[in-house]
Formats: sequence, C-alpha cells, structure tokens
Amino acid sequence: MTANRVAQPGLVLRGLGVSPGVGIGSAVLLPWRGRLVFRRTLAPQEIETEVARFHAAVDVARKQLQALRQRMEQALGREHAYILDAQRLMLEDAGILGEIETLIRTSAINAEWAVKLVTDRILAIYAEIKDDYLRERGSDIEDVAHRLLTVLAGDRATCAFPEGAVLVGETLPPSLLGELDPQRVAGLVIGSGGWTSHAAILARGLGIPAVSGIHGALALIEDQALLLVDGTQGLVFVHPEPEVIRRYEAQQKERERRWHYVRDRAPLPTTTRDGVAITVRANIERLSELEEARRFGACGIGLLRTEFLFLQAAPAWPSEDEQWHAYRQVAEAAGPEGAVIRTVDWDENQMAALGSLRALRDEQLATAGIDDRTPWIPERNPALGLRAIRFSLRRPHVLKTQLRAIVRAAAFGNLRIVLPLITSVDEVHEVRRHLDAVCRELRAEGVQVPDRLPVGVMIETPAAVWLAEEFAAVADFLSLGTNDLIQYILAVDRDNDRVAHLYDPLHPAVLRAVHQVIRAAERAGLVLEVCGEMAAHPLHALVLLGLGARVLSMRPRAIPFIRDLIRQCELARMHDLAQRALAASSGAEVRQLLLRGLEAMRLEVFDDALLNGSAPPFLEPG
Amino acid sequence: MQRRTVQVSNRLGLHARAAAKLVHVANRFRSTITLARCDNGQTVDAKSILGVLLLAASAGTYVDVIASGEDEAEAVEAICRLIESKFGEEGPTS
Repeated sequence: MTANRVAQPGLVLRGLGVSPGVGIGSAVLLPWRGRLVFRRTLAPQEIETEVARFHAAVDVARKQLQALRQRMEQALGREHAYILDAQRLMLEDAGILGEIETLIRTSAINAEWAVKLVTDRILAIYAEIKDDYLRERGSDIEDVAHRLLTVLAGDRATCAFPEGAVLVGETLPPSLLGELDPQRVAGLVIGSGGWTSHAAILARGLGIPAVSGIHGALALIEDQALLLVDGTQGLVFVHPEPEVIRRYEAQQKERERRWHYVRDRAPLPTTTRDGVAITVRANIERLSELEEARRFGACGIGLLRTEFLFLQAAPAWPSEDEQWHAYRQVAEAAGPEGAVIRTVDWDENQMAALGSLRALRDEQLATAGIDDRTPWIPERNPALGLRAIRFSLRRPHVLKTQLRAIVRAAAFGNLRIVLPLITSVDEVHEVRRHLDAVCRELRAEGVQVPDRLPVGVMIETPAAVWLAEEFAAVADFLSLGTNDLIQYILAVDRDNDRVAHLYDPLHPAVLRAVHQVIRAAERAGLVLEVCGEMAAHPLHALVLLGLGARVLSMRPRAIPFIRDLIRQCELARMHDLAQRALAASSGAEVRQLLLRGLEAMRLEVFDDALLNGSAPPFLEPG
Repeated sequence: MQRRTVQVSNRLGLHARAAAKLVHVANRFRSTITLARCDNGQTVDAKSILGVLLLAASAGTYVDVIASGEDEAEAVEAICRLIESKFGEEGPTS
C-alpha cells in the first residue's frame, strides 16, 4: 500500500503521475468486476426513464441477435441458427423482463444493477443442475446478460457523472473511458496500471489529470470526498487543506503563463540557433486532436494511433467504411506533410476487456458456424504475447479491413502506413503481400488506388534495433517507438508501479540503441521519425536531437514547448553532449551530465518537478 | 385440460436449442402449457425459455405436458411430437 497518513488534516496518497496537471473535484467510486456494474439509487422521477432505457437496451440486444441470426441462416442454413434462439427468447421472456422491470421500480435501482441481480439469481439456480451439459448452458444466460450490460454501458446516460467528478477505481475499463467527457471529469485515481495503460493514454489525450498506483483506492477514499489530483507529481490529496489548494492554484497560474508564452510563438519556424530545421509532427489518437495539431504548428501527423476506432466500435469491430471515413478526415486535415497511420496496436487482453473478442466469436459463428465457447484465457505476459502486428497477422480479416480502408483514404491525401512491434522482416513481407492483394481487389472493384503507399517499420524491440539496417532495406521509412523500445530493452513494465522507477529513457543502453537506429537510417538514406514519449520530454528531446534525430512526433499539447526549446538550442553543442552521454555507464550519470551541459547553455524551459527526478514531462496546464 | 407423459430421448436433453424450439412451438398455441418433471414434480411455463431451461430435463427424463385452453389437444400433440422426434436432431425417429 502506498498510502501514508500525514500528520495534518488531509490524507496524501502517493502514486505514479500518469497524466499531467491538477484537478479538484469530488470522488465518484467505480467498483469493477469484469464488467462495470455499479448500483445507483434512482430519484423517483428517474424511474420511468430508467425502465425505458432498459427496454431500449433489450430492443437493441434483440436486434443484434436477430441480425446475427440472419447472417448465420444465410451462411449455414436454418438448423444452425437455432443456437442463438435460446438467447433471443430470453430477451422476449416476459418473466425475466418483468422481474427486472419490477426490481428497477420497487428498489429504485439502475437497470445494470437489476440485470445483475436477476442474472445472479438465475445462475445460482443453474449451478444446482446435475446434468453437466445442461448446467453449462448457464453460459447462455451470462452471454445475454453480458450483451445487455454492454448495450447499457454504451448508453451515455450511464456516464453522466456529476460535474467536476474525480473517478476512482481499481482499473478503469476502456469502454467507460471512451465515453469520458473532459469537461465534466476533473481527474482520475487508478489503483493499478501505469503510464501506458489505456486509461493513462486516454487521460493524457483528453487532458484529464491522473494518478495511478493507488492500490486499494476504493477502500481508502470514500464516495464524494473532495480530492485534489496532482497528475504531474503523482499525488492525491484527500480533503486537501485550503493552504494546499492555494499553492496549487499559484502553480497552475505559472503553468498557464508559460503555456500562453510558447503557444503564442507557434508561428515561428522550428529551426535551431545554428540554423538546422527540425520537423515536429503530431501523434494523435482521436480525430478531435487534428485541430490542435494544426493550431500548435505540427508538420503533419507523425502517428495516428488507430485504437480509438476499435474503442468506439466496441464490442463490435469498426467496419471498413467507418475506418475509411476516419482515415479520410486525417488525410484531408494533415495537409501536404501527410499522416502516418499505424495498424492497430492492441493485445488480446485489451480486446477481451472491451468485449471485442466476443464480437469476433459472433463473426466466427455467423460465417463459419463455429460456436466457440472456450473460455478466453488471459495472457500471462501480454507484452510478449499476441499483440500489435502479431494480432493483425493472426486475424487477417482485421488487418485487411484496415488496409482496405487506408488504401481507399489515400486518394484524399498523403498517407503512409507504419507497422507496430515488428521483429522480423518476414512480417513486413507478409503485410506487403496482404497490401498488394488488397490493392488488386480494390482496383478490380474500380476503386482509385494510389501508385505508391509507403510502408514503415516501428523500431521498438531489441530485435528491430539490431536488424535496423535490414529493416531499412525492406521499409520505406523507420519510426522509433521509444515507449515500447525502452520497456523491452530495460525489461521494465512501466505499468507495474513497483518497477516503474527503473524505466529510464536516459539509460545508456537506450541511448546507444537509439543512436544505432538513427545511424542505420542515415546510411540507408531513410527518414527516421521518433514518435515515443521521449520526443515530448524536453530533456529527452534534446538528447534525441544531439544523437541525430531530425523528425520528432509528439502529442499536440507538447508541440509548442518542444518547438520553443528547439529554437533555443544549439545543435552542435547538443551533439557533443550526446556523444558524452553515449559513453556513460548509468542513467544517473547521463542525467548529471545533461543538466550540467544545459545549465551552461542557459536553456530556461524546465519545471523544477521535471528536473529533480522521474516526474513526467508536464509543462502544459492541466 | 389435456395431459400426456413423454420421455425426453434426444442425447443432450432439453438444451438451449431444443428448449428454443419447444418455446417456439408452445407459443403458437393459445392454451396455457406447462411442463412437469415426473421425478421431482418441478413445473414450468412451456412458453418461457428460462423456465424450460431451468427444468433441466436431461435425456431419459419423463415429462408431463399439460395444456388447458381452446387448442389444448393440438398443443399437447404438437409438443409431444417435437420431444418424441428428438427435436429433429438425430435423424428420423425410430
């Protein structure tokens, strides 16, 4: 437990700051077991709306099953389609529906809770059944309940948190985070899951301050407690004293002042003091960031993370047209500098958490008649498991759908494709074969296909570093994904708050790997883009420039700071510093060396919090 | 009221798909139709999928089909025929 009681009134919880800034609000506790189901007591006037919401969800779920059944019937014939009839009939069963409705009315509870209570009761009866085969059919009930809860969860009404809420949960399900409204949510307090957890990435994208690693947060914090979340330093103040609030308000003002300063300088060119032009691009993970990227002077989109499409569509899979529509918007907005689209970078654990694996199961059932009820077994080591390009290559129809959408969108702008977690040139060849097939198909359908669609490789594993020259030979460009690269080189899971402090971008092993990749790209005459978090951190960005990086891609809000920093920096001196850093034997030594060197250069952009330790690079206001 | 006893003889018993078929058939009739297990007397509404599933009638179980209403005779006849035909799962009835 990371909690420690401080002497004076407020309790201060120390965790890992995973999204910058400060937020103050009242706690909303979110217990989570598999699916997010929480009890909410309804006001009398809410009851009718809730009953209507329940019936609407039943309707949607029933339509989903009907559609699925129809597709099955077409593919396999009537007899097989009966598999789904039991589930559909449950959604028409007056007894079950009536019981749930009565519960909502008499107990004044939300639909989710009523569904859970009734399901639990039925499952308890099922558990008594002697016949193994029949008892197993309880899974039909679970399935229907899960479908209903998923539909209910997709209903924005459930996420109508009070204004200024600070959400507190052991983990926050991505399906919920997809619905978060940054205007209403002041902060997140997460029990487990670190910097790269989906909650953290989304929080950063939405600009919601977040602290992770508060184990047992649900037990420590009572509902509606006033919380101050400092996502920069990883602190959560429970019932903060007025003095603490005042201090934070002053800091916030200073941050805003700096933010306005650098933002106003956005029109200036991105050139170092010794006259070298640096390209600064934007990493985006939502379409709404396109506008920010443009406003802050991004030179095109260096990385479009496509996971958001899968989040939005969950538990279904985003269709080709849905994806095409999004990629087309990106292509049009990115301008002549274009955009790099990364194929989906997820693992099966995340897909399962979203319920997307069951959508795949539905798909399998509909097209091949395989009713796969094998329980899904969580991967023990997802970072080394079926994720990213491995996931895409294992499920070629997912990959081909995405490629088709990208190829079609490429008619509307300058698009490139980048492949995540590549460890072998064979994977690149395999994707190219799929891409060629997709292009042929589209041409045959009379769709306009661009002559050339560059394919890049993400260098984010030690294997890719060592084979950087080989990848340079088969790729059109290289992209350095520092987040994963550091995790794999240092064997540190940044989501594990007990070892997260070992995650050090300045570790000489990391710097030497980065240097090796930059040189390989130079020798091959390829563009190398650095698109991990390192590029957004002032200190790390300077080292990258010193090592020879000329294209940096980062989240839009970091762009004004990094561009301002580039204008102040003298590349020749950074080069010397970087050379010395490469020869260092520890991360601490590198840090000392850099700080002394930067002091001599009189660069003044740093936050104190940033310089004295592992605090994340947060300069922008929260 | 009409009543007839029938043995569930398909291999898997009244599983989900069989139960779904039974509920479909039952819903075609106006009469109230109940199923009762002869061994333990458990009685359920034949028009409710949940009821039929929770009856958990495995292969070999004897079940009373009871209907009352204007089309009770036809209802009992249809449901017994469905159960005896093993829900059309295992080829023609012997």
